Amino acid sequence: MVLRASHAIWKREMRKWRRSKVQLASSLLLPVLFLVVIGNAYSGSFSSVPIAVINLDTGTPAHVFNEALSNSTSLSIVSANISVEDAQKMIDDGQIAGFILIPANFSMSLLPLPWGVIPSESTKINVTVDNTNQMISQALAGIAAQSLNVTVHDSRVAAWFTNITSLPYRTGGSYINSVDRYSTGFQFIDFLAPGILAMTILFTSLFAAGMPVILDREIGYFDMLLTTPSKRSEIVLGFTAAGVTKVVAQATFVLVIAIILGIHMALNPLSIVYIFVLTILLALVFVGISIALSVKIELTAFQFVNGLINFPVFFLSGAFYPVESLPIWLRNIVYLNPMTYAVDGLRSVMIKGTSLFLVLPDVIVIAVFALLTQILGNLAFYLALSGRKIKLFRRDKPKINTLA
Amino acid sequence: MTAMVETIDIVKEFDGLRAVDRVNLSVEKGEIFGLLGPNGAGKSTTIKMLVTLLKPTSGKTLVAGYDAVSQADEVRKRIGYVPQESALDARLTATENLELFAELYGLSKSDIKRRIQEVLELVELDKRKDDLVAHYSGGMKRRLEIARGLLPSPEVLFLDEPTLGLDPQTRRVVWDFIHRLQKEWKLTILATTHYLEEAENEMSRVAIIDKGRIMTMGKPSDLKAEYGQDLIELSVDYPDGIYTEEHLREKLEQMQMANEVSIRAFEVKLSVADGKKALPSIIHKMEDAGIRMNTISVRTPSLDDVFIKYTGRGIREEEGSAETKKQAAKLIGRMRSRI
Repeated sequence: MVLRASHAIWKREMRKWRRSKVQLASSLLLPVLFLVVIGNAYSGSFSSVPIAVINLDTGTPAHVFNEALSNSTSLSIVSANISVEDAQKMIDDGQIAGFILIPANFSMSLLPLPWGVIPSESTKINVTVDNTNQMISQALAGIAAQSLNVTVHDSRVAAWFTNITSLPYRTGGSYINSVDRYSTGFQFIDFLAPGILAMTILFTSLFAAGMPVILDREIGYFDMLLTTPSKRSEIVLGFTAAGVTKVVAQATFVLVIAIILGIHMALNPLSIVYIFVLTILLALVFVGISIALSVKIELTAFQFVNGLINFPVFFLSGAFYPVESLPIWLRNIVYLNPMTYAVDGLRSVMIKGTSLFLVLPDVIVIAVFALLTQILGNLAFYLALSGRKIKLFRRDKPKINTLA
Repeated sequence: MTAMVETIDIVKEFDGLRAVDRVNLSVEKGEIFGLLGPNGAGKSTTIKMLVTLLKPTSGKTLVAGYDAVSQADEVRKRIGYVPQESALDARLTATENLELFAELYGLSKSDIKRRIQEVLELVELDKRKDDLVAHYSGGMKRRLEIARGLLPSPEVLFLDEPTLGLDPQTRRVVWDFIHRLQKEWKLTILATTHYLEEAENEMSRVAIIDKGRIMTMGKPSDLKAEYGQDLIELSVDYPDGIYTEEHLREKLEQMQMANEVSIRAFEVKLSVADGKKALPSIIHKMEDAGIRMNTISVRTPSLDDVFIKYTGRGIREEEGSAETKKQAAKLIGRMRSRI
């Protein structure tokens, strides 16, 4: 038979794969997850992007435009008619993705002379965007342009036009002026950098902490550790600390590379401290999960489960796709994901150089998560050691039969 | 004398499989106690309960006077454990391996270095102490594990199949060393094994365990004496199938040569009081009866004979049985899934 040995090995691998419940489950789950997340994320449409609107014009077109913005499901107007400085601050604080300024002469610029004014830079609608979030800022400009289009074709504008000029309505060209809030030449990679850092932490934590535990378990090394009079919690802490150390080392390496490559980053001492605190806390979150898993699962299954966790945690965190591009029901998961807060915090500090006080809530949230998963990890440890199975499903008590 | 290690009716069940079934053991201070049985008999499970790795489903375990369940930490301070599977960090040196456990055993900082040196010298590994364990031979690894078990100056040393997989010379070295430990340090030692010679020659007392139950317990010589007698083993030649086994048994019993006759597949075992004396007369009687023999030999009974007496099969046979191999593998798998 041709390729006989190859076939025999293939058969063996298939048999092992069939019999591993965890592997099979995750092999089936992963593509489903993929479809759900990527399918929904990359739909290209955004909803409820938070913005502010500053309307300095009193004319009908401005009013209609404002209305169009309010009606747009892609937008969520968080604040209206505040000062430009306030709006800029809101972008800095991450409360809005951008603001739309309708200048005082906007409506007038739609009228021909001598009734109106010549369209110029100062009459254009200004969309100031948070360009650290490239996808959203581009989307915002597009949405504003759409709304403008709707506006100039609105019958009320036509009526207003004819009313003033007694001429048939003729739409002139009217364009959006898109302004970057941060004018320091951001590229996509800069926007991604915090996400990449967070991803490194995620991937490494899941592996680095649990792997040694599983390997120890499988060769019986763990038994030896347990025959010593040392406290169990101390043993878990030792593994946890080792995992976190590995992660921090790796994260530092990533940061250094990023700096060398010239990726934009606010690099004052305070923000570096913040980055490290966040790194350690985030590492604790995933190290806790990793150790909880490692206590129960065998090696091959471990790798699959890790992949299963990695994917949604990373993609549903706003690191890659903005939260606003996801449907409402997926957003809930995003808000429950510690990664989301980490990425948000890192982005604010690394790119915008936001004051640390404002990003403190992110730290607190992650700290709470870290506490929870650490408790979980320790608990799993104790349960496994006491010989009690962590039952997911209730099983009837089996009949006791002796070996004889 | 109070027992150093005592189990009272301990039972261990895994998902309905009873691996240890009401085992009662009692080990005196300073003796080398053996737990002899085939694979899957429950030896490892029993030892794991003694070293606080497993909780008995029921029953009580006392080590060095402390309850292994409720006073586990006190027990752990006083014991050393050498597991069956090698549990060493291959990427660390011998010293580094020992350092970890010295810390885990809570040895005082000032003692650690000295103690490590002591135990390494004891097992004669001090020349190789800074080599990576990955470069050690099987025998060296086993010695290192024994050294590790001795780090906390234990009162009891538990060895799970200490010479498994070692060649005869290394086995001899390991046992000589264990005997020295017992003498010089008054160490109490409990070892499991499935090697008959080990049980017969090295242990002060032996308990024979099978299918989770203790069959019998006592000094090897006493057990063999209990078995009673010398054995004359002969194999019979059956030309043209003249005799069936039944027929042969009747005939032999008629001849009244022995106290007990046991036949299996034409291998005859005759139990007699004094084998050397009985041999010549047996040969005569067989010739007179016209039964041809291929081979004949005299021997004093072994523990295997004792084992057969209690279980109806030999330890050696036992190893080949597919059923028990399956049971043993299942048990090991179950034990592994709990750290």
